[in-house]
Order: sequence, then C-alpha cells, then structure tokens
Amino acid sequence: MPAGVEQLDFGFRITAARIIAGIWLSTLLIRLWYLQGIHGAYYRDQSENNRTRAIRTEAPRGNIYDRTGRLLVHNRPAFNAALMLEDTPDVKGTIRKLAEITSRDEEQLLAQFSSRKAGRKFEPQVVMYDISREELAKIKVNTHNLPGVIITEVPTRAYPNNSVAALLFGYAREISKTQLETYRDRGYRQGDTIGQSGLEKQFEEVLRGRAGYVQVEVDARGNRRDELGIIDARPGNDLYLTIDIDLQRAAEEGLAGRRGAVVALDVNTGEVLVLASGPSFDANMFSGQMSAKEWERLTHDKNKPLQNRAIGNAYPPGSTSKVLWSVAGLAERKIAPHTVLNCPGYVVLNNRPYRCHKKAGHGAVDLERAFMVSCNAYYYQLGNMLGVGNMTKYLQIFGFGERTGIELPGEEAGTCPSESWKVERFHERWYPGDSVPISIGQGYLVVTPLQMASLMATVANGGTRHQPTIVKKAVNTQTGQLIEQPPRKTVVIDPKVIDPKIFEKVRAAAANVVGSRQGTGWRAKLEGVTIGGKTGTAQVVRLGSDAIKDHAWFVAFAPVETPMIALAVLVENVGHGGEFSAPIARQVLEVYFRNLGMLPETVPAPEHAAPELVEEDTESTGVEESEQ
Amino acid sequence: MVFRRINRKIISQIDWQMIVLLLLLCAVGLTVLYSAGFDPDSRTSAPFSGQAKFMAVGFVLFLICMVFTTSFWRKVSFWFYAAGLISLVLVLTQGVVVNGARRWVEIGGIRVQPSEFMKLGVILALARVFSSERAPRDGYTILKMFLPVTVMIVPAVLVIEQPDLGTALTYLLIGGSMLLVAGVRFGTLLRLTAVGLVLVIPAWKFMLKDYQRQRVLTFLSPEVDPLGAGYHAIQSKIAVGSGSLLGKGFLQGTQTQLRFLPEQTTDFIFSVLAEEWGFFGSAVAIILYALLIVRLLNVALRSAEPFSSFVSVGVAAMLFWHVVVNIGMVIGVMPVVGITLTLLSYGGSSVITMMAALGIVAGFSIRRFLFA
Repeated sequence: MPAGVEQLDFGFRITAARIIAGIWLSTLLIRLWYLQGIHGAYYRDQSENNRTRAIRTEAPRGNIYDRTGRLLVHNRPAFNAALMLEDTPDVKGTIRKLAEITSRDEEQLLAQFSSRKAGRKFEPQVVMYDISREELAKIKVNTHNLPGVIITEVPTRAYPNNSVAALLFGYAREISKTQLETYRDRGYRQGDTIGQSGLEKQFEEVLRGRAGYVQVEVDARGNRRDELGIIDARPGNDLYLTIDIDLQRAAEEGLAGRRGAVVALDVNTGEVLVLASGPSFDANMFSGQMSAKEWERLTHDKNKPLQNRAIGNAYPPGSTSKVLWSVAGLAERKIAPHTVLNCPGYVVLNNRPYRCHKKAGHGAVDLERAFMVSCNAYYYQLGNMLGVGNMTKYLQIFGFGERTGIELPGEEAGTCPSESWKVERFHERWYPGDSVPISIGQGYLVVTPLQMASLMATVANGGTRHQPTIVKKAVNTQTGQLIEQPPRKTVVIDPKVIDPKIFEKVRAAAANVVGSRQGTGWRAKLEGVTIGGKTGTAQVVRLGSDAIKDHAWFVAFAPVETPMIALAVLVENVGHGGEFSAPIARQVLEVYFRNLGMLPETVPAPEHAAPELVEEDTESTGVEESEQ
Repeated sequence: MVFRRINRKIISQIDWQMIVLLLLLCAVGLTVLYSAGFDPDSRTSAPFSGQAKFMAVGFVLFLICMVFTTSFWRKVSFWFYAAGLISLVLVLTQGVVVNGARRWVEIGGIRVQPSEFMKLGVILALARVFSSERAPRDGYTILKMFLPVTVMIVPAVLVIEQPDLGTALTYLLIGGSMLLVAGVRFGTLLRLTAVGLVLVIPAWKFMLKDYQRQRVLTFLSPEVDPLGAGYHAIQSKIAVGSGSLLGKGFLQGTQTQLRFLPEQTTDFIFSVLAEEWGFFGSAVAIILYALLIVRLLNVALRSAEPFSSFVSVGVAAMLFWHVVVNIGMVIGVMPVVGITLTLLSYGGSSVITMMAALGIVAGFSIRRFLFA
C-alpha cells in the first residue's frame, strides 16, 4: 500500500484507470469495426477494383559548384521510352515496332530489355534510354500503334565544362542488384540512382534525390482517370567545392592529355584548389546510357583515364623529397645552413660508390646550393647522418604512409619505410643500403601527389598540417541551410620539434630553385610573383625495360614572402621535372595570381640565362648501383 | 544473494501471463514487420531481421531486469534519470541528424535513441518522488506538484529541441497519468482544466509549428487537401478499411506492398496489420495490448511497496498511450503525431526500453509474495 495514500483511494484510482483504458481501447475497436466491418467493402473497392498504379517521378540530384559558385554539374531532362507491361499485350511485337519507328537495331533492344529482370507490373520498364528529340516525335506520332509505351522524363547529369575535373565528379547511375542489398536499409529501391565513384559516391547522402510517386487510378485502357495520392520527389542538395575551375582547367591544359597529376592547395586552410589527373575524358559520356563500346574503351585504355593519379597512385618522389630531408637535417641538427659538404661527383657509403648526377661534381656545397642544384652527393651524406630512424620520424610527422583523409574514394596511403615496416612487408631486416636511395626519394619510398602538395603547404605556412578538403559547403536546397560536414583535423607541428625558422630557411632555398639563374626550376618563373619550388626526376625501376622514361615532378609554393598556394605537379614517364612539370605549375600559378589581380595583363615567358648550367637532376645512376 | 532469494519459488512465482502476452505481441510485431519491410526483388525483409535481433536482446534484458530487487530500482532511479538527461544533452550537442531531426547518438557504431530510454528514466524518477516520505497524503496541489512536473518537463523540453514533439508528449502523458494515480486534489484538478482550456488558443498560435497546426487541421477534415497534408490520413484509412473483416492476407496488402504509406515500418505499422489481417488481426492485437495493460495495473494494485506500484502504473501508462495515440492516428481518430506503436514498430531503442520496463514490473510481480 503506497505510503500516505489511503488504500481505498489508490484502489479506486487504479480501477478508474482500468475503466478509462477500457473505454479508449473499445473506442479504437469500434472505429476499426466502422472502417473494416461496415465500410470494408467500400475501402476494398477503393484499393483494388479501381486499378491503381504508382508512377515514379524522378528527383534530380544536387548540383555541384566550384568555390566561386560556378556551375560544374547539373541536370538536363532526358527522355526514356518505357513499357507498361500491364497494358502491353505483345511485348516483343511492341519493341519490334519501336525499333522500326526509330530505326534502331531490333535485336539489340530486345536483348537489352530481356537482360533486365521483369520488374513490378505497376512500374514502367525502360526500353530505350535518353532518346533524341526526333525519336521522341516519331514515337509520339505513333502512340496508337504502341500500346503500353510511355515516355518518361528523367533528370540526367550534364557537365558544362565537358572534360574539366570529370574524374573528380565520378558518376551516378541506377543502383545495381548487389548494391541494393547493402543500401536497402537506407531507403533505396530498384530504379534509384546512386553515386558510383568520385564525389557522386562520396557525397551520395548530400547529392541524392528522393524519387516521388504518383498513385493514379486508370481505366481499362490504361488512361489516367484520377490522382489518388502523391509522394513528392525531393531534389538532392547542392555541393560547393573548394576547386577553382579556372585553375583546374589550366592544370588539365598543362597536362595536355599526358598521364599525370596536378594538386594545388590553399596553404592556410588545406582547401584543394586543383585536383587534376590526366588524361581526362568527357564527363558527359557517363550521363544517359553509355554504350558498352564506350565503356569498354574507357576501362581498357592503357592510359587508365579512370584512375585518379593525384590521390590513387603512389610514386617515388625523387628529388622533391629533398624538401623533407632538408627540414629533417636542420631539425635534428645534423647540418646547419652553412655546413659545407663536398661533392666530387660521387660519395662512398657502406663501401660502395654512389654517383651524383653531375659527373664532374658540384664541389663544396652548402644547403642552399645543394638544394638549388639538387646535388645528390650532399643528400646521400645527409641521409647517412640522419639514419633510417630519423627518416621514418619525419616522414611520419608530415603524414607520409597514411591517407590524408580527403573526401574522395580511392585514396592511396603511399609508404613510410622503416625497419619494422620492412620486416613486416618483406620479412627481411633493414640494410644500410636501403636508406641511401630514400635520401634522394627513391627506393622503398612512394608518395601521392596530394601528399607532396600537403608537404609543401606545411612548409609554406610554417608547420601546420591541414587535412586537405575538397568541399567548401553543402547546402540544403529546400531550406538553404548548411549541411554539417565531419570535422577536419589540423595538426600543428610542435615548434620544439621543428623550429619555424627551419621552414623559413628551406623556403629561402626553394626560392632560389626558381628564382636563381642556376636553379633547376627556372621554367616556373613568373614575372611579378616570387615562387619557391623543387624539381624532381624520379627514376622508374622496372627490370628489363630501359625504354621507360622518368617521372617528372615539380613542387612549389608562392608567393615566397607570404605563401598562399602550394602545389605538386607530376607527369609520368616524360623525363626531367624542371623541363616538363615546372611549366605546368607556372601555368596554374599564372591564372591564380592573375585572377587575384596580382599580375599584369601579359607576362613574358621565362628566359634561360645561364647556358652552361647543368640542366637537370637525375638520380638514376646512384640508385642503379645501390639497388642491383 | 539475489539468486538464492528467488531460486526456490522462482518457477511458480514467475509472471508467466506477462511473458506469454509479451511473446505473443512480439510474434505479431515480427509478422507484420516482415510484410511491411518486404522487398519483392530479393524476397527478404531487412527490418524484420533487424527487429528480431532487437527483440532477442530485449528479452534477455527483460530476464535480467526481473532479477533485480525493488530496492535496487529505487536506489538507481535518480541515477538512471540523471544519466538520461545527460544523454539527451549529448544528443543535442553530438547527435546524428537524420531527416532533419537530431535524435540519435552513435555508440560504437550503433545508433541509439536516448529519448526512448528516458521514458523509463521518467517513470523510475517519478515513482520515487510519488513514493517518498514527503509526498502529500491528501493529494497534490499546484504548489506541491512543482517537483514531479519538473521531472517530466525537463526531458520533454530537451526532446522538443531535437525536435521530437511525439516523444515529448509521451513523457507528459506518462507523467500526467502517474500524477493522477498518485492523487490530485479535486479543486486543483478543476482549476488546472480551466487554465488548460484558456491556454489552448495562445498555444495553438505561438507554440505549434506550421506543419503541426496543419496536421491538426487535416485531422479535422482530411479531404480538404487530399494530395498534401491529408495524404497520410486518407491513404491510411484506405489501407485499414480495405483490410475488411479477415484482411487481404500475408504479403497481399496492395497499399503496403506499393509502399503508399510513408514510415510504414514505424509510425504506420498498424495500417499494415489492419490491411493484411483485417478486423480480426487488429482486434487480436488490441486485445493483447489491453490484457497486458490490465496485467500491469494488477501488479500495481497488489505490489508490496508504493514505489513498485507507481513504476507499474507508469509502465502501464507508457504502453497505453503509445497504443491509443498511434492506433488512433492510423485509423483517423487522432491527429498525426509521430508516436510509434510499441513492440510493433521497427526500432531497437524503443523495443529494448519497453522490454526492460516490463522486466522490472515482472520482477515486482515475483516479489509481491516474497515481501508480503
């Protein structure tokens, strides 16, 4: 018995509760009896005898814009010819007639149609995707001969910039059987569109539109009589990228169809301004119904245009790694800026000679000069002083061997070689000879162009690693509100580990690479803006095929005094970095600074002023001897 | 110690009636959910398999809760409530947004809805308040109501922020019912009713959001806007009515299989039952609920301690209001409010909360003799 409450009262109230509950529940039963018992026949009639049909209304996916709001991806209406199986007495005959009217291949249409599983009776089955205006007119004229044929309008992706950034967007198409099993829980149904690669896949939740349905009542001939219900289609939400389409276009033009990648970052935010991968292709190929032949050509192209080389492929960084080793050497106090090492054209380490690319030798060089002329002998010795432990330490500090976390599928991590890494990977201990090639960016070390751009951004901003991002914002198209994005991580490198003055020293050295008459990166020089950079020519080690040319690298930042942009350029198998990649960087930087109003209308092309200069840095000789 | 105490009489004292009713309702729920989530392409039902797992977990929890003593629940009641409040704040600050509402938090990859668990928190805390030494012997007045009303209002406000009006409403309905059973002075009751009537108009104007007003208006006359706001009401009525006496049969409901009702695995699950199993099936479900509610009130009446009485009343109220508001909405005697049908609607947090709550009461049911 509850304390303080008379038992009688309590019992009374429980009884009252029982009665109230009884009345309510009886009300429900009475109402149910009214609906189901008394009016059951009427509602049964409504739901069954009137033939109802659900017609899908497709929802457009969200648009994609660049950082300044320029439209990159939107939707155009495409028309499909579809069959309502219920209203088509002779399916094959009707398809034959369709083929005849539109002069298409009858067998192909039939084969395509039967390869898709017969679906719901109530839903239209598509026979021809993305038909032309002429075909549409012909079908409309012949409607009476084509019972059950209907035209559906479907929003389809369109790309006003054709090939620019095509690979970034990826593509979206009808959800497959196997995908449906995974995604059913999230409300996907047969016929829905889902992002399959690139941003379309990564930002599916943002871009996805929800199809609507109209429930219509039809007469015996399949004509609409009345609309019974409607579920509105909900268009997808819009995505604003950090990409600047002008810069992206400049980068892709610079790559000019060659295999390679260009990445540019805002050094203060980690925003990706350019993420280009060559060769490119026309994104419009993906919209509508791509023919099997076109698909075949794209996937079997030996240049692999569907591979995103900026993030999905790791390469030896070659001499661009000297940026990192310079920082490491200074931070570990193995060298000082004025430390002079001798380059007689080779160095002997572990009883083996390792040659510099300049046979005559660079003579006595300090850090600035070694960096500017890319002296291998200097960095072999520096690497030897650092040892594998320190190399691993600094690779880790700058995030090598792990994904940057950019919001794109298919990112590679590259490697961060260490003693334990080698044991795990090759079941073999670390030999002193393994460290030598790494000090000039060869051997076990491979990196993605994005990682190199990120390294340059960190050096440029004085030690802050921003997680690269490609998305500025996602906007709910209905409410105009921002859709929250997962937080990005920012790592500020401990100034006790790397003094910001060290970055300043390295930036000064990099400025000479481009600015000095003897620097290897002179082709990147831009009148009006100071640029810091480092060239790299990464040897491709492949047994028995000497014909394969080196990868050309160029990494840079600008302006040297107050860095704003960092970039990495890679062109596969063309030769020297200074010759092939530096001009592409220049092209991108020119557009960037012109758009900012920091350049005059016309900029003279860089002139080479020192004819006697050693052209390039090549690491090949040393590596061959050490590796084989 | 706990085990030794209950071991001897355990088999004979277990509330078999409650367990049988619970399992029957689970069976009805799974059958209907299979159909509601059925996909003709793969011939599987994803919500069904999910719910089966939730129910298995829930039943284990039911058994565990049954073992703990009444004094244990009284001791933890405020802690449980406090933890609930903290988790509701966490939802608002760290929650996952789904369909524009922030209702879930992710714990180790599992999404849970703390507002569901909080229903039990409110029941336990209020039971403790009502059974305390300081509870008024001669019924609550407006002043004395301050504490219990605060206990239900605070979580309700937090939940409205998500926004989830339906769940906030359940806290108030559960709490209000418990308060009435605890006893309110007659005069106070009259005055409150009068104030409530006066406040209806400003509440309508200033507190409700547009879509909520729209729902009430379309409840009053759905035919005004058949393709818009009245859509749910009409489609739901067609689904229920067309079930007729014996229903269209398992997986045969046309409204259901064409997915014409949104949220048919959650808020509108009852329309699936009514369409496919007819009046017969719907009545069976309602009677099962009624028997379970009566059973819970019986435990309340016979409990040895006031605390367990009030908990039993609270759990009965929780079940009752879910059933009445949800089914009422589906068959058009209540406006569309987002309240699920306990044990039939899909949702892990809700199933687990209900089964744990029933487990606690089943434990009281065993002990009413041990302590008598």
